[in-house]
Amino acid sequence: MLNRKFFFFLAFLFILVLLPFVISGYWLRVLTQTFLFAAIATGSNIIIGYTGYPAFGNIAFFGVGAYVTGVLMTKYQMGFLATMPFCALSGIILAALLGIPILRLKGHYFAIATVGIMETIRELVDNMTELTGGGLGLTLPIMQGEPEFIYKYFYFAMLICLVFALLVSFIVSKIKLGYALKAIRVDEDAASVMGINTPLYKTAAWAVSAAIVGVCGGIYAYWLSYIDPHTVFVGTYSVKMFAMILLGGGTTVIGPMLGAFILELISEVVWSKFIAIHGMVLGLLIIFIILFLPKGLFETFKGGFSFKKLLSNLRENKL
Amino acid sequence: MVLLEAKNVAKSYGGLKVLTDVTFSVNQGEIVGIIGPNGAGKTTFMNLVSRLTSITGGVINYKGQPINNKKPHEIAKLGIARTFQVVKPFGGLSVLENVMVGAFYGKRNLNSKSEAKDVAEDALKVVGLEDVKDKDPRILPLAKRKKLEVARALAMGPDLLLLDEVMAGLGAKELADIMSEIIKLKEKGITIIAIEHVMKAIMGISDRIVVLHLGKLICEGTPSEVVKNPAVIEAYLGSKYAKKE
Repeated sequence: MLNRKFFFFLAFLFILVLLPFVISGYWLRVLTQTFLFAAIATGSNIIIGYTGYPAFGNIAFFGVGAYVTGVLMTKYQMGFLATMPFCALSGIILAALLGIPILRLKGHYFAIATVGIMETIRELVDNMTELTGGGLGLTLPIMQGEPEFIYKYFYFAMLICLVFALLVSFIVSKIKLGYALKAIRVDEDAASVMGINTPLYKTAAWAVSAAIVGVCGGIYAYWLSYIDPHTVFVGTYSVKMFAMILLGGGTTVIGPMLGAFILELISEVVWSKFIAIHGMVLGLLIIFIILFLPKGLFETFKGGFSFKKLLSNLRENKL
Repeated sequence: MVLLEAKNVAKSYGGLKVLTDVTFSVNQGEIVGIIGPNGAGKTTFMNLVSRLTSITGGVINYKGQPINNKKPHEIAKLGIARTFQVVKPFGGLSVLENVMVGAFYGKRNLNSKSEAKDVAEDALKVVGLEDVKDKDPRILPLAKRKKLEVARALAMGPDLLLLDEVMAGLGAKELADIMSEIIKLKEKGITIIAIEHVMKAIMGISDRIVVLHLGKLICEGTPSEVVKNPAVIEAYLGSKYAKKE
């Protein structure tokens, strides 16, 4: 069964590798953005889906990663790739430090606290004018080369980031740590009396998640070549990331990626055809997901598609 | 040899005293039953031993060492495993994987997946759940979910097993099954503290009984001694009916 799934994944990956050579620059950009969100959702799913901690403000690590790349490239003349480990490290350190007090909170309280963290870091970045450029933003060195090459470069950079995120998520789900996280998600008291050091494992899960999201931010900064606090600490990204995880299913490795692909592609179509009501359509879609697919596509349609299951989810209306 | 010793244990929530001055000990290899009407403080005592709640007064020693300040996961690593009154299977993990969690993180602290699987399979055999090992535990009937709780605790490799109402809600046949399984565990050298409301069962399996009432220890002794104790009869039946008895 695993081999069949793995074969399908390899085939899917092969198609994604070939795509840039046959599609237009527009779709290349759309897919690059889709990979970005898929990687963010996959990384965030380690704390949100596996561990059951709704880190609504996980985009904070995305912003920090973006600024780490931005500052290291502009102020310290580092190469783009050389900044990547620092993006991951910034996420790990920040999550480890914040995890000690914040991961004592649960549910809505934790979610709100993470949003508070995002807002605090955004304000800090906004006020550290000398280092970050403050509200004026930071202009990164522009990549040299033909536009087509640059498009493909970031397409593959995001794809590699996504594959890396999937690989980490897969490994976490299969090793001893994964069992602990899944136990914590269901019942933290039961997990702790079984010998699981819950504060340590929750912090580890958040750190791994933050490292992936931080790397996504670093790539995004170089791709955009200009960042300011309002383009990288974005609340709507958090909403999208959450909707993607919910849509695909937070208990699976590829669920968040599937959610990201569906939501980003729908969002792009809606954006291009109905620009005036784009936000409204996206909002309705999120409400639909929460009402009808709270456990995600994978969990809901394990045995095949049926309207009955959609309706029963609506009746139960619980996550 | 004394394995667990409670000395003047007290627990209160603000002004509400849930346990007052509870003192008793559990010897290695014993089955000790804790009984008492609802609200007697039985589950609170178990929560204090597993450190899900903090102790207000007194001390609990395990193998001669105080465990008051240990964290729940440290208690588990010392060899104390417990089940819950309200069964808590880890949904999203199969029955086997649920039990593997115990093998991974309990006293055994295994790192190898294959070793954890072997231990989990053995534990499932002990409680007779090997045929449902690949199932989602949430779909199992109550009796099997209770057995799963026991299997999960067993996989941890405990020296002391705390059973919180594992027999409640079971039918006669299931009750007989689980009673014989608990006796088998004792034969394997595991010390057991069991909270139970099913009197026939707890009297049948326990070496000694501790009776709590309104947070106080009112009687301790063998099952035959305890059933004759006037304080116990009064606690269960009330003074009016106890006098008639």
